Amino acid sequence: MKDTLFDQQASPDNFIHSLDPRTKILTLFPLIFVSTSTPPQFLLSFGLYSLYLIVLTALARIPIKLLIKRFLMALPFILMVSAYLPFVEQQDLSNPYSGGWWLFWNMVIKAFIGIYAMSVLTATTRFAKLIQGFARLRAPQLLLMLLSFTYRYMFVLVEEAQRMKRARDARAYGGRWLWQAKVIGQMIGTLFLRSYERGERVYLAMCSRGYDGTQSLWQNSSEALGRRDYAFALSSISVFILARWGVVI
Amino acid sequence: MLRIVDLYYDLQFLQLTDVEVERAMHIFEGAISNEINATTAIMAVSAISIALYKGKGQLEEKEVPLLGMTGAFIFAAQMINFPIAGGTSGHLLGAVLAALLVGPLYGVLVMALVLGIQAVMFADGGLTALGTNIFNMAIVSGFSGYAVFWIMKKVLPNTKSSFLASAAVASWISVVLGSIACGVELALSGKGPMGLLVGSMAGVHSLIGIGEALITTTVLSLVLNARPDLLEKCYPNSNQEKDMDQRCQLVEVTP
Amino acid sequence: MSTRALEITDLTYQYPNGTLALDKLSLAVEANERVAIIGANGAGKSTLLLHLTGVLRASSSSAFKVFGTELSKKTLREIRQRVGMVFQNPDDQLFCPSVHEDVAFGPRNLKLPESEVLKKVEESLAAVGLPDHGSRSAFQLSLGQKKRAAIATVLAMDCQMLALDEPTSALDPRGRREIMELLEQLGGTQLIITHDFALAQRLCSRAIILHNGRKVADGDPANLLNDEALLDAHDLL
Repeated sequence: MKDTLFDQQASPDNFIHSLDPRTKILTLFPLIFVSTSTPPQFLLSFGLYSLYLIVLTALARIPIKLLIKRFLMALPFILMVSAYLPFVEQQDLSNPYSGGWWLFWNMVIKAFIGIYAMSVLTATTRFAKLIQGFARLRAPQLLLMLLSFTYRYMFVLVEEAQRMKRARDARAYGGRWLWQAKVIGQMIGTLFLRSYERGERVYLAMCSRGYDGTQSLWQNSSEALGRRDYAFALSSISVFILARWGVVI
Repeated sequence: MLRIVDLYYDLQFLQLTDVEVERAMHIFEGAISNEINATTAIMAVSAISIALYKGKGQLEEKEVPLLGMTGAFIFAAQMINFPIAGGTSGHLLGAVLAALLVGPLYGVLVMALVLGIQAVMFADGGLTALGTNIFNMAIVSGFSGYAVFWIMKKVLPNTKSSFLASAAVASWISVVLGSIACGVELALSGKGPMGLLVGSMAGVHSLIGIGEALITTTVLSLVLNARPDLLEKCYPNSNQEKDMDQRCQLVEVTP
Repeated sequence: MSTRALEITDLTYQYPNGTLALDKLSLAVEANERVAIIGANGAGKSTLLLHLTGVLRASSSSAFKVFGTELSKKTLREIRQRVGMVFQNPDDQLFCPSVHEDVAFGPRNLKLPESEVLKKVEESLAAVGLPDHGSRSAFQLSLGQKKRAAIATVLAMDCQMLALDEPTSALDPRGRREIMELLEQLGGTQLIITHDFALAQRLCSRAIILHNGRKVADGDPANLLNDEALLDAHDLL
């Protein structure tokens, strides 16, 4: 199971993986913003954004399986708020790019680019690195500290919830109706009590290593960006500008 | 990373193959107009900044890991689906629960942590829509729910059953109002007629809200029994000893 | 006479609900001694550890000295640095996004310069046999690796005494052997709370048996842990 971990150590010398986290944040976040601001009829622009991400996927050797899973996971929820559009929205005669189908396309392609870009970022950057990147971009210390605690323990708690669920199902629980939510409430309550007491123990563990509420979890040095980082960021940003504003339909 | 995604994926799809409706509130890129996204983003940033600013001076050293743990807890609790009817399922939103456990302002912060991690690490909910998602599921749900709770607490007698009843009504309202906000934003962004969007959102979520209320009250009564000190802020009437330090001592290091 | 690592006299502790967890407990640990604390669940082992972390305060009639320093609010920080607490559940101890940051957390709190911190992290991770695991998240480690990483987090503090809470619990035989070898190799003063009799006999020069908050036996582990009558009398058999 652990071998299937998406582990950057497998390719420490991969160009994309080894870029500074700031570089990746400052190129992939803007891509999402640029793509979201693009009018839906700019088909070529969306094609270029996708191509850019596909090139990164190939360079970083991101497993396709992971990406497909993510798209499939989000698909029902995107469709839920978009699939009805072609049936309720009429085309405005003065605007050829209005109407339900264009709205539908608009939502699906932008959600696709957003999920894709985010997946490329997280598949090539460890959470610890990402947090370090945000710290170097001067995000509030306390926020990052809270984020890293949340992220660190959510898997521990999800596994705990899974164990509880297994124990519940092993005793032939078959909840199909809303009023059985009470059982789930008890599971969640137990989960909370355990997690709170775990939090208290974590606090003790921090204290016994000299924590007094002022320190951060990581080092706050600011390394300068390398030449590769500048090259990557500049070329990426020019691709976005060209794709967004340089393409004439 | 793949294992993490597997875990998430399994919980979403394989454990209960039901259609999950609650996630309809996680909005992706392109659904909401840029103007609305920008406005809600400003509100989200302000709420988070106020919480952080206040936290910087007031958060005791102990509360930092505990707030983070509460975020992790809300995330994990959201993974546990509950059946609604005929093969559909929802999950806890947790805004009122968080507000009651850590206070309304930090409650918003905790919900924002969860939504932020969902958007970035799991691509669940869009980045440009993060402000809107925080607005709907943390600010509207959390503050409205807490306000309802606060008013009911003032009016009702100070007993355990009225505490739980207030929490139940508050959680139901928090989910319904959050979904109405979501419907209004979609309609304002030209994604369909206002009546249809708000009606269907509120309709579905008034059912989910019942689950939310049931779960929230069950969790609260469990906590009231085991650790009443944790609800000291919103239900101070518990006769148990109040000294946090003393309760702390009961933390078991070995089982 | 050299200072004792730990000297506890007449330590009594009653929980708010009335349970008497420690009843006039006195014990001493010499420097560079490895002592096993053994006792049934509820014997007072955890409460003893909570005193070591300074969460619980000893009452005035008792004395609680760590390397000659009396435990008090003032000396708490110093004592926490001197005593390296290794918790039973490593997930409680590894709270950072990566193992590297977890190990660096303590030295950074000691305000060491960053180059020194890096050196300490490398040394500690190498000492527990996880030299290449710094960038990992604790979520990706096996339980045995997590337990060793947890030990590394306190090694980096340069503590004078290790206090370990059930270091071998829930481990597979290989993980257990690795932990035992690691503890043997680390040396120094170690206070090991354990239910693992084989570990106590193999590693420790002395075993202390607690029962209902009192010390009921203190001596050579080989003798104590083979004395069936003694073990049975204290719910250990």
